[in-house]
Amino acid sequence: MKSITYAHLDEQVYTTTLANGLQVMLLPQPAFHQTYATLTVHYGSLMNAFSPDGQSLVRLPQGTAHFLEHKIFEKADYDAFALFSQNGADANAFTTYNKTSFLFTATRHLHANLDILLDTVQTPYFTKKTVDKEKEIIAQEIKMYDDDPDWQLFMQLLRNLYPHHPLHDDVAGTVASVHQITAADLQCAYDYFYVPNNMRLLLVGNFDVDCVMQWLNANQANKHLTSRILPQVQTTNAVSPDIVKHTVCYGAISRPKCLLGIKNLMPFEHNQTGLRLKLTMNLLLDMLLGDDSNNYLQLYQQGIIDDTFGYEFSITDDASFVAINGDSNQPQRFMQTLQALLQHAANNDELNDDHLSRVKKANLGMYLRSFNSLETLANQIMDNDYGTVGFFDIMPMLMDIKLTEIKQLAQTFFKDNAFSTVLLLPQEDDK
Amino acid sequence: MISKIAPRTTLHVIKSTQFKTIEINFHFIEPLNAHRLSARSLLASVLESRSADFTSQAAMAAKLAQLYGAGFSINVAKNGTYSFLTVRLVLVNPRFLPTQSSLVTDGLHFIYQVLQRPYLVNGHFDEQVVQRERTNLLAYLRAAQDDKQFYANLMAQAYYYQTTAQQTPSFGDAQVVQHLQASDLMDAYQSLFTEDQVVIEVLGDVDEQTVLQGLTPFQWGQLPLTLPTIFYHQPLQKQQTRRLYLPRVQQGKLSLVYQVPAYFYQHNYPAWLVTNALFGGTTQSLLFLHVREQQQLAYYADSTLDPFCGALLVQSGIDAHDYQQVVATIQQQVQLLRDGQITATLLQQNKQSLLNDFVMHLDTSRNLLNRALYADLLRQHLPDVSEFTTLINAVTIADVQACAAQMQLQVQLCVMNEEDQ
Repeated sequence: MKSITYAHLDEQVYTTTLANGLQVMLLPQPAFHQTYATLTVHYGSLMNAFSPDGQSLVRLPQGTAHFLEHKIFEKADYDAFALFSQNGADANAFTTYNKTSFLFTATRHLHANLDILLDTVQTPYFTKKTVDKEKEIIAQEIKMYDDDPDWQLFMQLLRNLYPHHPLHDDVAGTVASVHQITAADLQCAYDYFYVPNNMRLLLVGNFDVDCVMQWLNANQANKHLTSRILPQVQTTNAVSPDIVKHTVCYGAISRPKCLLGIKNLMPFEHNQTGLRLKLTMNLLLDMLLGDDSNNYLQLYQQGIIDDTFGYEFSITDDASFVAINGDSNQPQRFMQTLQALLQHAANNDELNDDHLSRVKKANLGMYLRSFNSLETLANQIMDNDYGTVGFFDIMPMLMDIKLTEIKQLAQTFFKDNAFSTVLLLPQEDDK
Repeated sequence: MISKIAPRTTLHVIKSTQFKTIEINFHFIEPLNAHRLSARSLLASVLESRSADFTSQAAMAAKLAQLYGAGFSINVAKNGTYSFLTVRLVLVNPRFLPTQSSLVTDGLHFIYQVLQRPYLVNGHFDEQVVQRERTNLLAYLRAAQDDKQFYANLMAQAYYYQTTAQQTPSFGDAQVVQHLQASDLMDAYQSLFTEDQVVIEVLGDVDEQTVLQGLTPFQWGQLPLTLPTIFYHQPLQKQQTRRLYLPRVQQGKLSLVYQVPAYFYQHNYPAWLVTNALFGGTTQSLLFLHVREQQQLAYYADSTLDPFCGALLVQSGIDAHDYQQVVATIQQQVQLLRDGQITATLLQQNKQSLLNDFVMHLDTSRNLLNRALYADLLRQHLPDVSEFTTLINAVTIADVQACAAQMQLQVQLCVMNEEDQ
C-alpha cells in the first residue's frame, strides 16, 4: 500500500490495487464521525456502443447505465437499501456520462456496510419482473427533469454543441428508450463493465486503514473475481466544429432563460494537461466574469444579468465546454454582449496580474472549504482524477499557473465557430 | 464559550479543529411580521450589494476574494413565529494558507463594514440600488413558480396557514416588495440593532479574545428583550382540496399538509421523529416502499416535519391521472401507522436511520451552529448522541400509533396540466 502525506493540508492518502484489479483509495478523517464510501464503476451513459473483442459491436439502448444503477440494489430475496438501513447507513447511487457510483454514509458498523456495498454491486440479479417494474419509476424520474427548465435548457445546449456525439443524450435516456431495456441488456453491460479492474473504491472518514484493508481483502478473496480485458468503447469525435448555432424554445417559465455555450475544439488528454486546462479555464472565467470583475458589474448595472448569472467549465473524458447561464429580460443583449466579450477575451483589461493573484486566493479558499463535507471531498477526488494527477495536486498546480497561459487560453478557446446559444422563453411569447 | 456581550446579544464561540474553516454567523431575530419579512428580504439584498467602504458589488466581491474566497451571504428565513436575518461568513483556517494572515479579525471587520456602515445617500439607502435589488427580488419571486414542486408546496402552505405572516414565503411577498418605501427599509435596518435579539456564533480554530476584540466596534441594542414562544399553533380547519392548473407541466406535483402536535424537542418529539421517518422520511418509509416501489406511482414521495409550526408536509411527482390513487395510497399508509401495522424490522431500520442522521449531522458546521442557536433560543439543553439514542430507542409502535392518530390532513393540492386532469 502506498501512502502519501500532504503536510500543507494535514492529510494522508493511502492507495493500493487489490490482486483482482480493484483500485482502493483511503483518506482517513479522524476528526469526523462518519465514513463516506463510494464504489465507482467506470461505466456511464456515453458507453452504450462498445466492442468486446475489437471486431463485433454491441449496442445497448440509451439509459442502460442509469437503469443498471437503479437495479443493482434489488436482489432475489432482499433489498440492499433495507440492509444498509438496518446497519444505520444511508445509501444512494448516481450515474454520469462516464461513471456509475454506489455509495453509503455510515456512522457505525462500517465492516458490515462495506460488505453490503461490495456484495450488492458484485452480485448481479436482473429479472424481467424487476426490470419491468422499474420502468415506470424511471419514467417518472425523467418527467421530473422534464419539468426543470434549467435542465431542459442545459440538455438543449448539449444537443447543439454535440449533435452527433452521445453527450447530447440524457443520462437517464428517454421514456421510450427506457421501455426498450431488458434484463439481458443489463446483464450484458454488467458482465463487460462491472469487473474489479474497472472499479474504484474510495473511503473518506473515520476508520482504521489496516482494519479496512483486512475487511476488503477478506471480502474480495471470497468472490474469486478476476480482472479482464475491458471492451473498447466506440468513440465519437468530441471536438468537431459541427455545432447548431442557435435554438429558441418555450417553456412554463416566468422570464427568459439564456444559455451560451462554447465548445472546446482542441483535443486534450485526460492527464496532467486535462487538469491544468480545467484549472486555467476556471481562473480565466473568474477573471472575466466573476462578481469582482468590472465586466460583471457593468452587465449587472445595465440589468442584463442578475444573481441568477453563473458559468461553468465542464470536462469529461474527451469533451469539454464552457456554459454561461442567466435569467434576463434582455436575452439578446445577454447573448451578444457576452459573446463579444469572450471573442475578445485575450485583450480584456481584467486579465492582469493583480486580478490573477486575487482570483487564485479565492480559488484556494474554495478548495480548502471543500474539505468540510466528506461527500463534497469524495466527489472532488473522483471528479479530479486525471490518472497521474488528481485532487491533491490542485493547490501547487493552481499557484503555478501564469497570466501568459491564461491569456493564451483566452486567445485560442473562444473561436467564432465554437459558440452556440439557447434561449428559453416564457410561453406567452410562443407565437 | 457563551457570553452575553449586551443585554440582547449573545456570543457563542465553539472551538473546533474538525473543519478547515472558521464560520461566523450573526442572527438577528424578531417576531415574525409579514410586512417586515418582505422589507428584510429586500434589505438583505441591498446590504449585500454594497456598503460605505465597498461602493460597488465588484468592490465587495474583490474584498471577499482577498479574504481567500470567503463565503458570504445575508439571508432572511423564518421558523415558527420568528424571523431571522442571518449574516454568514465562512473563512478558511489561516493555518492552511501559504502566508500568515489575520483572517478572523479581517472577517469580523468586514461584517462590521457591511452591517454598520451601509451605503447611504442623505440618510437613506441609495434609491438606484434599492430599485435594482427590488427588480431582481421581484424577478426571483416570480421565478419561484418555475420550480413546480416548490410552487405546489408554497401554495399548499399558503392555503393551510391562517395568518398572513405564515402564508408569506421567507423571501417575501411580491405585492409588499413592490410598494416598500425608503423609510420601510430604513426602519427594517434600524430594527436590527434596536429591536432584535442577536445571536453571534463562531465555530472553528479560533481564539475567543480575538473574536471579542473584533466585536468591540459594533453598537448593540441596550434594552433587554423577551421573545414570545417560537412555536406556532393554529386551530384545526376543514380539509381543503385544490387543483392548480399550469400549462406545459409534464408531471403532476402533489403537496399535502397535515397538522401535527409535533414541536422541536417538546412533548413526544422523539416519537414524532420516528413516525415521520416511518411515514415518508427515509428510503425505508411506507411512502417510498408503497407509492414508489410497490405501486410505481412516483419517483419520489416523501414527508418532512416542520417542528416549529406543527406541520407535516408530503410531496410527490406523479402522473396527474393517478392523483386520486396516490392520495388514497398515502392515506392508507397513515392508516397502517394508526393500526400499528409496522414490522419490528421496519421500525428498527428507521430508528437506525435517525440515529445515523443525528451523528452525521455532527459533521456539518451548519448543524453544530444551529444546535447552539436553538438551545439558546429555547433556553433548553438539546440531547447529545447518547441521550438521543436513548430517546429514539424508547419509542414503541404504540407511540407511533398515538402520533399517527393525531395526524390531521388539512390541505391536499396538486399542480397539474389542465389537459391531464
